Amino acid sequence: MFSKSMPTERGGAPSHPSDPPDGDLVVRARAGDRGAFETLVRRYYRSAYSIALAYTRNRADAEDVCHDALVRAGARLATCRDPKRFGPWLYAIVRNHAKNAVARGFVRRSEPLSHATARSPSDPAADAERADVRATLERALESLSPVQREVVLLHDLDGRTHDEIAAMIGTSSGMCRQHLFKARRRLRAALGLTLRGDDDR
Amino acid sequence: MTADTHHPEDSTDQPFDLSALDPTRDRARFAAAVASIARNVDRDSAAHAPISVAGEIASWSRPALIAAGIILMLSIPALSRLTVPPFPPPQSALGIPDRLAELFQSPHTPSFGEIEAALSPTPAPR
Repeated sequence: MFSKSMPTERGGAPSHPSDPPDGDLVVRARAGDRGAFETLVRRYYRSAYSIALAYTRNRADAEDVCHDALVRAGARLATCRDPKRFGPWLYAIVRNHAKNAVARGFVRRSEPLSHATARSPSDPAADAERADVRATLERALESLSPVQREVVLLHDLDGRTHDEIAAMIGTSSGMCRQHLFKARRRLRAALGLTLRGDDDR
Repeated sequence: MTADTHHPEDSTDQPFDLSALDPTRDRARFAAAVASIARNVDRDSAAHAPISVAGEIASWSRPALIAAGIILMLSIPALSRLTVPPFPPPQSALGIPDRLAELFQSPHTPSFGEIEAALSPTPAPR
Protein backbone atom coordinates (compact mmCIF):
# COMPACT_ATOMS: atom_id res chain seq x y z
CA MET A 1 0.00 0.00 0.00
CA PHE A 2 2.74 2.46 0.88
CA SER A 3 5.49 1.15 -1.35
CA LYS A 4 8.61 3.16 -1.84
CA SER A 5 8.08 5.96 -4.29
CA MET A 6 9.45 9.45 -4.62
CA PRO A 7 7.80 12.52 -6.16
CA THR A 8 8.49 13.03 -9.83
CA GLU A 9 9.41 16.67 -9.31
CA ARG A 10 11.38 18.20 -6.48
CA GLY A 11 9.89 21.30 -5.02
CA GLY A 12 11.45 24.71 -4.72
CA ALA A 13 14.00 24.79 -7.50
CA PRO A 14 14.00 25.02 -11.28
CA SER A 15 13.41 21.55 -12.71
CA HIS A 16 15.73 22.16 -15.62
CA PRO A 17 18.77 24.39 -16.08
CA SER A 18 16.85 26.35 -18.70
CA ASP A 19 14.09 27.26 -16.23
CA PRO A 20 14.40 30.83 -14.99
CA PRO A 21 15.72 31.19 -11.45
CA ASP A 22 13.53 32.48 -8.66
CA GLY A 23 15.16 35.92 -8.64
CA ASP A 24 14.29 36.54 -12.30
CA LEU A 25 10.74 35.33 -11.84
CA VAL A 26 10.17 37.56 -8.83
CA VAL A 27 11.45 40.62 -10.68
CA ARG A 28 9.22 39.85 -13.65
CA ALA A 29 6.23 39.17 -11.44
CA ARG A 30 6.73 42.51 -9.70
CA ALA A 31 6.63 44.17 -13.11
CA GLY A 32 3.21 42.61 -13.70
CA ASP A 33 4.16 39.39 -15.48
CA ARG A 34 1.35 37.10 -14.31
CA GLY A 35 2.93 34.10 -16.02
CA ALA A 36 6.10 34.54 -13.98
CA PHE A 37 4.11 34.58 -10.77
CA GLU A 38 2.17 31.49 -11.77
CA THR A 39 5.48 29.72 -12.45
CA LEU A 40 6.58 30.54 -8.91
CA VAL A 41 3.29 29.24 -7.55
CA ARG A 42 3.63 25.96 -9.43
CA ARG A 43 7.23 25.63 -8.30
CA TYR A 44 6.52 26.15 -4.59
CA TYR A 45 2.95 24.95 -4.18
CA ARG A 46 3.77 21.46 -2.93
CA SER A 47 6.35 22.74 -0.45
CA ALA A 48 3.92 25.34 0.85
CA TYR A 49 1.19 22.72 1.04
CA SER A 50 3.47 20.34 2.96
CA ILE A 51 4.15 23.00 5.58
CA ALA A 52 0.47 23.92 5.80
CA LEU A 53 -0.56 20.28 6.13
CA ALA A 54 1.96 19.77 8.92
CA TYR A 55 0.05 22.31 10.98
CA THR A 56 -3.54 21.83 9.87
CA ARG A 57 -3.42 18.02 9.56
CA ASN A 58 -6.13 17.86 6.92
CA ARG A 59 -6.21 18.48 3.20
CA ALA A 60 -9.02 21.03 2.96
CA ASP A 61 -7.58 23.34 5.58
CA ALA A 62 -4.08 22.92 4.19
CA GLU A 63 -5.33 23.95 0.77
CA ASP A 64 -6.99 27.03 2.22
CA VAL A 65 -3.91 28.05 4.18
CA CYS A 66 -1.64 27.43 1.20
CA HIS A 67 -3.97 29.41 -1.07
CA ASP A 68 -4.22 32.39 1.31
CA ALA A 69 -0.47 32.44 1.96
CA LEU A 70 0.38 32.41 -1.73
CA VAL A 71 -2.15 35.17 -2.42
CA ARG A 72 -0.61 37.25 0.32
CA ALA A 73 2.89 36.57 -0.99
CA GLY A 74 1.85 37.54 -4.50
CA ALA A 75 0.18 40.75 -3.42
CA ARG A 76 3.14 41.71 -1.18
CA LEU A 77 5.91 40.68 -3.57
CA ALA A 78 7.47 44.11 -3.30
CA THR A 79 8.32 43.36 0.33
CA CYS A 80 10.50 40.35 -0.61
CA ARG A 81 13.85 42.02 -0.01
CA ASP A 82 15.97 39.38 -1.72
CA PRO A 83 14.19 37.91 -4.77
CA LYS A 84 16.70 35.04 -4.86
CA ARG A 85 15.43 33.95 -1.45
CA PHE A 86 11.78 33.86 -2.44
CA GLY A 87 11.42 30.31 -1.08
CA PRO A 88 12.39 30.98 2.56
CA TRP A 89 10.39 34.21 2.46
CA LEU A 90 7.34 32.33 1.24
CA TYR A 91 7.75 29.53 3.78
CA ALA A 92 7.72 32.05 6.62
CA ILE A 93 4.43 33.44 5.30
CA VAL A 94 2.95 29.95 4.99
CA ARG A 95 4.05 29.00 8.47
CA ASN A 96 2.56 32.18 9.97
CA HIS A 97 -0.70 31.69 8.12
CA ALA A 98 -0.88 28.08 9.25
CA LYS A 99 -0.26 28.93 12.89
CA ASN A 100 -2.78 31.77 12.80
CA ALA A 101 -5.34 29.59 11.07
CA VAL A 102 -4.96 26.86 13.68
CA ALA A 103 -5.33 29.43 16.46
CA ARG A 104 -8.35 31.06 14.80
CA GLY A 105 -10.11 27.95 13.65
CA PHE A 106 -9.47 28.21 9.86
CA VAL A 107 -11.37 31.32 8.78
CA ARG A 108 -11.50 31.52 4.98
CA ARG A 109 -10.52 35.01 3.70
CA SER A 110 -10.02 34.85 -0.04
CA GLU A 111 -12.13 33.53 -2.88
CA PRO A 112 -12.34 29.83 -2.30
CA LEU A 113 -11.30 27.23 -4.77
CA SER A 114 -14.46 25.47 -5.79
CA HIS A 115 -13.65 21.88 -4.97
CA ALA A 116 -16.59 20.63 -6.99
CA THR A 117 -15.65 22.47 -10.17
CA ALA A 118 -11.95 21.75 -9.78
CA ARG A 119 -12.37 18.00 -9.60
CA SER A 120 -11.15 16.34 -12.75
CA PRO A 121 -13.25 13.63 -14.37
CA SER A 122 -11.87 10.28 -13.30
CA ASP A 123 -12.86 6.81 -12.15
CA PRO A 124 -15.13 7.25 -9.11
CA ALA A 125 -13.87 4.01 -7.60
CA ALA A 126 -10.25 5.13 -7.91
CA ASP A 127 -11.21 8.50 -6.45
CA ALA A 128 -12.83 6.80 -3.50
CA GLU A 129 -9.81 4.61 -2.91
CA ARG A 130 -7.47 7.58 -3.07
CA ALA A 131 -9.69 9.49 -0.65
CA ASP A 132 -9.57 6.52 1.71
CA VAL A 133 -5.78 6.30 1.53
CA ARG A 134 -5.53 10.04 2.05
CA ALA A 135 -7.75 9.91 5.12
CA THR A 136 -5.72 7.02 6.52
CA LEU A 137 -2.46 8.93 6.02
CA GLU A 138 -3.90 12.08 7.58
CA ARG A 139 -4.97 10.11 10.64
CA ALA A 140 -1.52 8.54 10.89
CA LEU A 141 0.17 11.95 10.59
CA GLU A 142 -1.72 13.11 13.67
CA SER A 143 0.43 10.76 15.76
CA LEU A 144 3.51 12.85 14.87
CA SER A 145 4.75 16.07 16.39
CA PRO A 146 4.41 19.19 14.19
CA VAL A 147 8.12 19.23 13.34
CA GLN A 148 8.09 15.49 12.52
CA ARG A 149 5.11 16.04 10.25
CA GLU A 150 6.83 18.91 8.52
CA VAL A 151 10.07 16.96 8.00
CA VAL A 152 8.45 13.79 6.68
CA LEU A 153 6.13 15.73 4.35
CA LEU A 154 8.92 17.90 2.98
CA HIS A 155 11.20 14.89 2.53
CA ASP A 156 8.93 12.08 1.40
CA LEU A 157 6.19 14.12 -0.29
CA ASP A 158 8.06 17.15 -1.61
CA GLY A 159 11.41 15.47 -2.26
CA ARG A 160 13.58 17.88 -0.27
CA THR A 161 17.05 17.01 0.95
CA HIS A 162 18.00 17.07 4.61
CA ASP A 163 20.09 20.20 4.11
CA GLU A 164 17.19 22.02 2.48
CA ILE A 165 14.73 20.96 5.15
CA ALA A 166 17.17 21.88 7.90
CA ALA A 167 17.45 25.38 6.44
CA MET A 168 13.67 25.65 6.12
CA ILE A 169 12.83 24.67 9.68
CA GLY A 170 15.90 26.20 11.31
CA THR A 171 17.71 23.13 12.53
CA SER A 172 20.74 21.02 11.65
CA SER A 173 20.86 18.33 9.01
CA GLY A 174 21.55 15.75 11.70
CA MET A 175 18.48 16.74 13.71
CA CYS A 176 16.47 16.65 10.52
CA ARG A 177 17.52 13.02 9.96
CA GLN A 178 16.52 12.13 13.49
CA HIS A 179 13.11 13.75 13.08
CA LEU A 180 12.60 11.87 9.84
CA PHE A 181 13.64 8.54 11.35
CA LYS A 182 11.23 8.95 14.26
CA ALA A 183 8.44 10.21 12.01
CA ARG A 184 8.62 7.21 9.74
CA ARG A 185 8.71 4.83 12.68
CA ARG A 186 5.63 6.43 14.19
CA LEU A 187 3.83 6.46 10.88
CA ARG A 188 4.47 2.76 10.37
CA ALA A 189 3.30 2.05 13.88
CA ALA A 190 0.12 4.10 13.36
CA LEU A 191 -0.61 2.43 10.05
CA GLY A 192 0.21 -0.98 11.43
CA LEU A 193 -2.38 -0.48 14.18
CA THR A 194 -4.93 0.59 11.56
CA LEU A 195 -4.24 -2.46 9.43
CA ARG A 196 -4.49 -4.79 12.43
CA GLY A 197 -7.81 -3.15 13.35
CA ASP A 198 -9.13 -3.74 9.84
CA ASP A 199 -8.03 -7.37 9.92
CA ASP A 200 -9.82 -8.01 13.22
CA ARG A 201 -13.23 -6.97 11.88
CA MET B 1 16.96 11.65 -4.73
CA THR B 2 18.75 9.03 -2.69
CA ALA B 3 17.05 7.24 0.18
CA ASP B 4 18.51 7.46 3.65
CA THR B 5 20.68 4.41 4.19
CA HIS B 6 22.12 4.63 7.69
CA HIS B 7 20.43 1.33 8.52
CA PRO B 8 19.67 -0.44 5.23
CA GLU B 9 17.81 -3.29 6.94
CA ASP B 10 15.65 -0.87 8.97
CA SER B 11 12.40 -0.26 7.09
CA THR B 12 11.94 3.07 8.86
CA ASP B 13 14.78 4.46 6.76
CA GLN B 14 12.84 3.85 3.60
CA PRO B 15 10.81 6.76 2.21
CA PHE B 16 7.10 6.70 2.67
CA ASP B 17 4.81 6.86 -0.31
CA LEU B 18 2.80 9.98 0.49
CA SER B 19 1.74 10.59 -3.10
CA ALA B 20 -1.90 10.28 -2.05
CA LEU B 21 -1.39 13.59 -0.25
CA ASP B 22 0.23 15.28 -3.25
CA PRO B 23 -1.88 18.35 -4.14
CA THR B 24 -0.39 18.55 -7.62
CA ARG B 25 -1.38 15.03 -8.53
CA ASP B 26 -4.79 16.07 -9.84
CA ARG B 27 -3.64 18.32 -12.67
CA ALA B 28 -6.97 19.99 -13.32
CA ARG B 29 -7.48 20.74 -9.66
CA PHE B 30 -3.93 22.05 -9.36
CA ALA B 31 -4.35 24.27 -12.43
CA ALA B 32 -7.57 25.66 -10.94
CA ALA B 33 -5.77 26.38 -7.67
CA VAL B 34 -2.97 28.26 -9.45
CA ALA B 35 -5.45 30.29 -11.47
CA SER B 36 -7.48 31.10 -8.36
CA ILE B 37 -4.37 32.30 -6.55
CA ALA B 38 -3.34 34.56 -9.46
CA ARG B 39 -6.88 35.94 -9.69
CA ASN B 40 -6.97 36.77 -6.00
CA VAL B 41 -3.53 38.39 -6.19
CA ASP B 42 -4.80 40.70 -8.96
CA ARG B 43 -7.83 41.61 -6.89
CA ASP B 44 -5.81 42.11 -3.71
CA SER B 45 -3.20 44.22 -5.54
CA ALA B 46 -5.89 46.46 -7.00
CA ALA B 47 -7.44 46.96 -3.57
CA HIS B 48 -4.09 48.03 -2.11
CA ALA B 49 -2.92 50.16 -5.06
CA PRO B 50 -1.14 53.40 -4.01
CA ILE B 51 -3.34 56.52 -4.06
CA SER B 52 -2.35 59.60 -6.11
CA VAL B 53 -3.64 63.09 -5.25
CA ALA B 54 -4.63 63.82 -8.85
CA GLY B 55 -6.40 60.51 -9.12
CA GLU B 56 -8.21 61.10 -5.87
CA ILE B 57 -9.38 64.56 -6.99
CA ALA B 58 -10.46 63.21 -10.36
CA SER B 59 -12.39 60.45 -8.70
CA TRP B 60 -14.33 63.00 -6.66
CA SER B 61 -15.00 65.45 -9.55
CA ARG B 62 -17.77 63.41 -11.09
CA PRO B 63 -19.85 62.95 -7.96
CA ALA B 64 -19.25 66.59 -7.07
CA LEU B 65 -20.56 67.70 -10.47
CA ILE B 66 -23.54 65.43 -10.11
CA ALA B 67 -24.31 66.90 -6.69
CA ALA B 68 -24.05 70.44 -8.06
CA GLY B 69 -26.41 69.56 -10.89
CA ILE B 70 -28.97 68.14 -8.47
CA ILE B 71 -28.82 71.23 -6.28
CA LEU B 72 -29.31 73.45 -9.35
CA MET B 73 -32.27 71.40 -10.54
CA LEU B 74 -33.90 71.66 -7.13
CA SER B 75 -33.33 75.39 -6.84
CA ILE B 76 -34.70 76.42 -10.28
CA PRO B 77 -38.37 76.51 -9.16
CA ALA B 78 -37.48 78.62 -6.14
CA LEU B 79 -35.31 80.95 -8.19
CA SER B 80 -38.04 81.48 -10.77
CA ARG B 81 -40.45 82.71 -8.06
CA LEU B 82 -38.08 85.44 -6.90
CA THR B 83 -39.12 89.11 -7.80
CA VAL B 84 -36.16 91.38 -7.82
CA PRO B 85 -37.07 94.99 -7.07
CA PRO B 86 -35.98 97.49 -9.71
CA PHE B 87 -32.72 99.15 -8.98
CA PRO B 88 -33.09 102.86 -8.01
CA PRO B 89 -31.72 105.35 -10.58
CA PRO B 90 -28.05 106.13 -10.02
CA GLN B 91 -28.74 109.83 -9.36
CA SER B 92 -30.63 108.87 -6.22
CA ALA B 93 -27.53 107.18 -4.88
CA LEU B 94 -25.57 110.40 -5.54
CA GLY B 95 -28.20 112.66 -3.92
CA ILE B 96 -29.17 114.45 -7.16
CA PRO B 97 -32.88 115.51 -7.22
CA ASP B 98 -34.91 113.71 -9.86
CA ARG B 99 -36.17 116.99 -11.45
CA LEU B 100 -32.60 118.19 -11.89
CA ALA B 101 -31.55 114.89 -13.43
CA GLU B 102 -34.47 115.10 -15.86
CA LEU B 103 -33.46 118.65 -16.90
CA PHE B 104 -29.92 117.55 -17.75
CA GLN B 105 -31.19 114.49 -19.56
CA SER B 106 -33.51 116.59 -21.76
CA PRO B 107 -32.25 117.58 -25.23
CA HIS B 108 -32.51 121.43 -24.74
CA THR B 109 -30.17 123.41 -22.47
CA PRO B 110 -31.93 124.30 -19.22
CA SER B 111 -32.16 127.96 -18.11
CA PHE B 112 -31.01 129.20 -14.73
CA GLY B 113 -34.63 129.62 -13.67
CA GLU B 114 -35.41 126.05 -14.49
CA ILE B 115 -32.31 124.85 -12.60
CA GLU B 116 -33.28 127.02 -9.58
CA ALA B 117 -36.77 125.61 -9.65
CA ALA B 118 -35.41 122.05 -9.85
CA LEU B 119 -33.16 122.63 -6.86
CA SER B 120 -35.97 124.11 -4.75
CA PRO B 121 -37.59 121.72 -2.36
CA THR B 122 -40.87 120.24 -3.61
CA PRO B 123 -43.79 122.15 -2.01
CA ALA B 124 -45.96 119.97 0.27
CA PRO B 125 -49.36 119.03 -1.21
CA ARG B 126 -52.40 120.88 0.29
